[in-house]
Amino acid sequence: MNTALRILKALQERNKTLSELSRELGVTKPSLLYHMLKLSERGLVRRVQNGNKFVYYSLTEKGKNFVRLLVSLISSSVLSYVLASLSSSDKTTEKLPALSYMVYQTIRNEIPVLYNSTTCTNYYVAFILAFVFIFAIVYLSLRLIQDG
Amino acid sequence: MLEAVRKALIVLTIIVLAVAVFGLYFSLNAVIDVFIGYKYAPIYKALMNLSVVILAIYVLKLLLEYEHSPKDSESSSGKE
Repeated sequence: MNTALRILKALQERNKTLSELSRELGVTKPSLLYHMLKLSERGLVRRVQNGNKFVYYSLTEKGKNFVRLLVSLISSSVLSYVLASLSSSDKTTEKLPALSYMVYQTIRNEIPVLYNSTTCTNYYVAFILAFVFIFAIVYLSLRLIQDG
Repeated sequence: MLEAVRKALIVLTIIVLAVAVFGLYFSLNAVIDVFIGYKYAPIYKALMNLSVVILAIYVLKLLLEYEHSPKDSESSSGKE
């Protein structure tokens, strides 16, 4: 995984110092500093110094939102792919009424172009529906949990 | 007079929005019935209803936060 993304993920748990991040991620401090600079330029990470000598790094509100968005996008893509693949498979026709099954088989055998386009459409619609629903569930749940 | 027109327009917009949300909900149900196999349709409907529930909770939370924030500032200013 990309180092910047790993840093964002590690900072999602709590604020951390550069040494803690270096130990946890197995990345050298100069490399971490370079990524921190890039991330803070984009407004995703900020330095926090609470009066003591330690400098902590924490996610900004924009950074937290970015991580939430990324987690939601990845998880909903994977889950919706699995669900769409299952729901558009041939198994859905097993228990169709006899006449519908005959029509289905005829279309499948006689007009393969129509059959392929139908199953493709079914797959895309299933994927889009699953993606929208799962994304909404994951993203809003993360917002509700993290905002307290 | 202008204020009354503004309020009437807000009410009208809320009604239109409510009708559109209902329409969208039933259209999505119809889309699921048409495109998704009978075995998997309940899963999609459950996901849709769950997303609606979570969206409603989220909006409710935002509204409650909005409702409480001005009162807090009023009470603190009153004490001073």
